[in-house]
Amino acid sequence: MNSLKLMPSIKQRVNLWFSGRTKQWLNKRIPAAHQQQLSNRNIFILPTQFGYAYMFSVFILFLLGTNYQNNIIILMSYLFASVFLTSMFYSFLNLSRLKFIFNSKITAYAGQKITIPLSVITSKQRYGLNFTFVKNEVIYCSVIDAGESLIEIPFISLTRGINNPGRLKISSEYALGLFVCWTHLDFDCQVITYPAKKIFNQIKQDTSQHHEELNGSQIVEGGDDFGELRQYKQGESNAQIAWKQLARGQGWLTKTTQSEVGSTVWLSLQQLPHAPIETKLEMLCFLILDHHKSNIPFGLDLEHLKVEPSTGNKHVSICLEALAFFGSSDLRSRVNKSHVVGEP
Amino acid sequence: MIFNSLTGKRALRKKSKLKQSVHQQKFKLRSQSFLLLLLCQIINLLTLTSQLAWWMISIIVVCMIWQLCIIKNITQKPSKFLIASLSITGCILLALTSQGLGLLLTMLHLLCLSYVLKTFELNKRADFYQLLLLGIFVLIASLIFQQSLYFALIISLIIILNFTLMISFFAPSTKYSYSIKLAGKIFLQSAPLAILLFFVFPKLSPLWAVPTAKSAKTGLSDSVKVGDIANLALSDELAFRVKFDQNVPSYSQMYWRAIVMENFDGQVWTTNLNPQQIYRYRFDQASVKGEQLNYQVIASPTFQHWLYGLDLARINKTKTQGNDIVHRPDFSLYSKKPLTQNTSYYVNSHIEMPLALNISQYSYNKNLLIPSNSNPRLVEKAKVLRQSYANNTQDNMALIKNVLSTFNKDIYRYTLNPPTLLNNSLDQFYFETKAGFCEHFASSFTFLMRASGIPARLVTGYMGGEYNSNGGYYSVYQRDAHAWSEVWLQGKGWVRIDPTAAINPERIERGFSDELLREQAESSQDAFSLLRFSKNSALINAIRLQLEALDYNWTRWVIGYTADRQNQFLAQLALAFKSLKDIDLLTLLQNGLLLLSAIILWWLVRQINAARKSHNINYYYKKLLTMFAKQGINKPVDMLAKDFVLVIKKELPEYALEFAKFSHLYASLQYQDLSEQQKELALNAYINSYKILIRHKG
Repeated sequence: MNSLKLMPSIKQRVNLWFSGRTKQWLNKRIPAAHQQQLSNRNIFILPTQFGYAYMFSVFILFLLGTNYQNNIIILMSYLFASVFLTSMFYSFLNLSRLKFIFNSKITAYAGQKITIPLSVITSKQRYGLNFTFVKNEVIYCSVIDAGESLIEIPFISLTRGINNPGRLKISSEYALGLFVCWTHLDFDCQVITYPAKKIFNQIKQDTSQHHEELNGSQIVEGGDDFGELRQYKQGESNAQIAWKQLARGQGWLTKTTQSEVGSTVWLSLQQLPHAPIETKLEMLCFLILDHHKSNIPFGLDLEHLKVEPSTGNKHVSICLEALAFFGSSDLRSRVNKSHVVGEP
Repeated sequence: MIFNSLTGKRALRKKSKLKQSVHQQKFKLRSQSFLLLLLCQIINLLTLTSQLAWWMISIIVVCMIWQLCIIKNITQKPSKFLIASLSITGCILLALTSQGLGLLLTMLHLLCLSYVLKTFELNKRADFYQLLLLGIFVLIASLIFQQSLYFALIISLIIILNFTLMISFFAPSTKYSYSIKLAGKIFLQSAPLAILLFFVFPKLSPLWAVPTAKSAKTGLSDSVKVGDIANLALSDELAFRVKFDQNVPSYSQMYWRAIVMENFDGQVWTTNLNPQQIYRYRFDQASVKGEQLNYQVIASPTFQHWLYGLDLARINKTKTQGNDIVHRPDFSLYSKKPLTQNTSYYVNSHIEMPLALNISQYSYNKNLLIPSNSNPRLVEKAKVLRQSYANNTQDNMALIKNVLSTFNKDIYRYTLNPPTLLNNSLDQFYFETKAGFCEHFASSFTFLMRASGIPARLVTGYMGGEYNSNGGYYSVYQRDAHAWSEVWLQGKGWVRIDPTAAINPERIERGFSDELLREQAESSQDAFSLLRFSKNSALINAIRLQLEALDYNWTRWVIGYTADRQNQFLAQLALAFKSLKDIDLLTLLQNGLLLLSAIILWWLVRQINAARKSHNINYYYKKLLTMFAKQGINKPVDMLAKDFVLVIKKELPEYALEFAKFSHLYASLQYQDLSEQQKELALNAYINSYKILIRHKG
């Protein structure tokens, strides 16, 4: 029994084979691109269940008319059949010539629900569109106005690394609900997924923080104490901005904390308590965000890669990306080289 | 870098983020859609009201009011138990009344019941779909009972309403005006194919027998007592239409025979309904002689069997579809099936031919029978008359003339409102009240003939007809209903005697006299009939005749489009094409090519125009981009036009305002559906804006 369970059943195998073939076929027919325009090449259309039921009813009406030799009923049944065809065109034209542009870099924490922005360009109004990535929430747009607009499609990137949300399914039953018109678009969208955002309060006090002393100044734990004000640099944490001073018209200033003054922190993978590697990365992620929040300059020390100590949003994103790419072969090529210190 | 691009996006998001919602798995109709659904249901059901039993109508009304209360949050949704009990009650009532309703109506009641009760359990999308389809069935079922042009048009409008409901469900954000327009557009765009299919797709004969519609019988009845036809004459409804091939008889010859009545019980004349008599009769084709009239009759549904024809009528079997129409031995036409819809048949008539030169002794005696003790004074008068005439054809004719002349000489009055007679006594009419409608005269005349020994019978039918020059046909209305007599004379057969001709010759020559018309107007129920109004105005009359001609063509081409007619039509079409091909293939080809090239030219001009316009738009934009590029600002290919405005605002603030305007115009020209006029305006503003920007540089 057990051995049987381990083997994939024939049905599963067939399904797997089919989904593989469909994927291949789709990749050939609708290749991945940042810009996609819908046309008869990439739109699929089939009657809905309601459509089939409708046609069956029309057939019954035809029989009714024939049996009663009632020409008006026959005429009406032809009319309903004809409406069926007309609504097919309406369904198709509702999707046809719709243009999508995807041009953002998407980052996410593992397991976090994000939205993937997509520009929609259309020359006329479109109605009743559903957007969904496979195994994700369905977004319903009842109307899209002419011009450019933005749509945000939810996606949950589950694992750390680079994830592709797969093909975006866009479908509509517009007009009479007799036909469903759909397409599967691949925007070549890569979600850079950082480790999951978790809270590890115990390591905050731990010795995992590897401090380097500079100029013999004292290290102050915590760092909530107010220090001095200095000129704001773009990208610094919002929490550090001296809002009061800004309101007084003294310009953009940043509050520095004492802990920052004269101390640099190295966040190092080796210094972390013993845990599986993914957990360790999550810990590092937590520490990076924690330091960014307190505006303490920090460096990142992964085994094969070191990021120079610094502060600011840009620095944080480089560090987080380094975590995201950790373990992948092209780690170094992916991370912006200018900030990386040579190999240890 | 990443965060920057995200904050940039955020600004855009505020501007034009779409209304979007996570798809709801649970089915729920918006209350507005629900109202539309109820409206649709009510209107769909209204088309059937005349067929529904009172209890069904009350169930419908209660359910609809209940639904309205639910929408307005006055009451809760009823429990399942309540719905179940309601449906069971309905089914029980249906079972009890099914005997009277007949199979077809029983099924229809069931359909309506489920249509009404289904609304209470709208839990899934599938339920809503079922409701939509049930609605279509209810709506179309009403066409079993009525097929007039106007009714079909009304049904078409209701179909559009049903489509509007569907659209408002599948595109919920649209306005109702848009939904209705779209539904109408879809309907009209579908119509050509439907019409093509209708005329070309082969007509099938019935696949299996179906229960026929039962309805109140209208028109002439198979029994007549005095006063019946005067009542019928108040109705302006159409009885049938006739289209003559070539020869048209004069008005006074248009005696449309329907029912021959040989039985008289002292009060009521009845016809012989013995099936043996109805079916077993064949014409002797060889005996046919004299001038022939060919015509088509389209009879309105009466839910009876009687058909109409001029004497001596023979069905044209080759043109008439089916074998349902038979001749009766009394020379009337009879349909084996009741007329539940418009029925068309072709007749050949020989007006001059005598009817039955020889009749059986049984028939002879039967047409002399008068019940004992009925109308003794008339019997007495007949006896007196008989004494002065011998029993031969010539003397009999003299006797008849004598009786007719008394109608003419004495002060008899021809009226639609005769005084009421006690027990329908003919004596009372003949000797005392002396006022009556055609059946009074025909009835007492026939009685008098029988009493004086001349075989006679009463015939009912229609007299005359109104010519519609728009359609080239005659309309015969219920008010043309008439009764006359037939007497059998040796050597002449059955001879038609119309006592009305003696008392009111105008009726026979032209139709109702002014006085009769006034009487009719006073006592008729359908006070709003167009026919009534048209008496006073030539314009209204012309409109009425035009509308009727339209209805006639509808009846001929749509209702009466049988398989035979289809074959004929297609053959004619093929012939027309063939003759076209034969006659001037060359000119046809030339014309075709000319037309084709004209179409291609038109299309090309359109394409070029469109291309030039769109090219112009892009051209100016690109030119500006190169200008900005010279100043060191490049627009990345994947940057939205809106975003580039922000870039310009930051880098070249002096251009910002004008460029924002320019960019907006560009977007609206490129992506919006503008009307021609709007396009023109926008294009001018766009080019102006471009010029300002370029000049700025200089």
